Amino acid sequence: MNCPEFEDPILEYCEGAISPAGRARVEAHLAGCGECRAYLETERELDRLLARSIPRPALSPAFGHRLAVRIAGERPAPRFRRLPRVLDWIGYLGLAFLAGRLLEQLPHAGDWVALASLAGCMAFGLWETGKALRSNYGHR
Amino acid sequence: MDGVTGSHTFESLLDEYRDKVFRLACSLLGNEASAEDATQEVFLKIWKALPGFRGQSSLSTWIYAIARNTCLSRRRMEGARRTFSLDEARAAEIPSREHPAGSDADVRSLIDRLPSKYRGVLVLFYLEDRSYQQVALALDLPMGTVKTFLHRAKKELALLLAAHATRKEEVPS
Repeated sequence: MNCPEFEDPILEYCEGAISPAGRARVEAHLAGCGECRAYLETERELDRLLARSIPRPALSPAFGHRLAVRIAGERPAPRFRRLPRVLDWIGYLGLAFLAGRLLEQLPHAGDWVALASLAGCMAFGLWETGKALRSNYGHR
Repeated sequence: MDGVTGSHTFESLLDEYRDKVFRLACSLLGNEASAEDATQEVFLKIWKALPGFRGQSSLSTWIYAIARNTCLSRRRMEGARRTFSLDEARAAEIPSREHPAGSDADVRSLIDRLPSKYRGVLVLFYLEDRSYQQVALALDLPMGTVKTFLHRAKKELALLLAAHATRKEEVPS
């Protein structure tokens, strides 16, 4: 090509993405340069060829359903989630009461009750801390 | 499929970006089946991360970054580089008008031979209705780089098409 300074502007012109000033400059040049007109025609042909050879693909109709299934598989098991919080606490207190009654039957019952209470408090604290950390970092 | 950030629900993001992410995946992976799987993976990641999205970047930048990273790691895993190709059934449905350089399949196989950075820009440009802006946003490239890569891709492709046409003339079928 004898006019390399017009090579990229002609491509932009062909792609329809040139400024009004650039368009006027290219059109003025094309009017007097047969070689650049031929280059433009070649580029237009290439543009048509590419537009035809690269058709828009489409997602399959099952895409949405497949995604919904995958997302459902990622959700945590709703084991206790649906129970109101107050029911959880009634359950915990019931278990604690039963455990206390059982421990009363043992020798040195006071020591056992104190030890079990301490272990229970520590386990509960660790469990709640873990839950809070997981929630803050967006893990599900 | 719940998940809300600002005024965006996961469903609204899915509606707005599903096809754009899929086209980006097609341009980077070159295979529709693989691109659809990647798009699934991208939206699963978005669903998981949406509650933690704090608006550090714009939503589209964030979504395209997830999409690019997912596709690039998928391409590394898949190993062999392949580019845009219609599946056999779809290719058979589309009547192909013969060009001096060859059929549409010939053109696609020549596009396949371009360097990956040029090929991605070229394919996405045509998938996005010749929008420099959309290509720049999806690939996170400056607009000037998009134009440069696109023009280099076309020049290289023109040379490949000319060489291909010459070979066809020398070996008539």
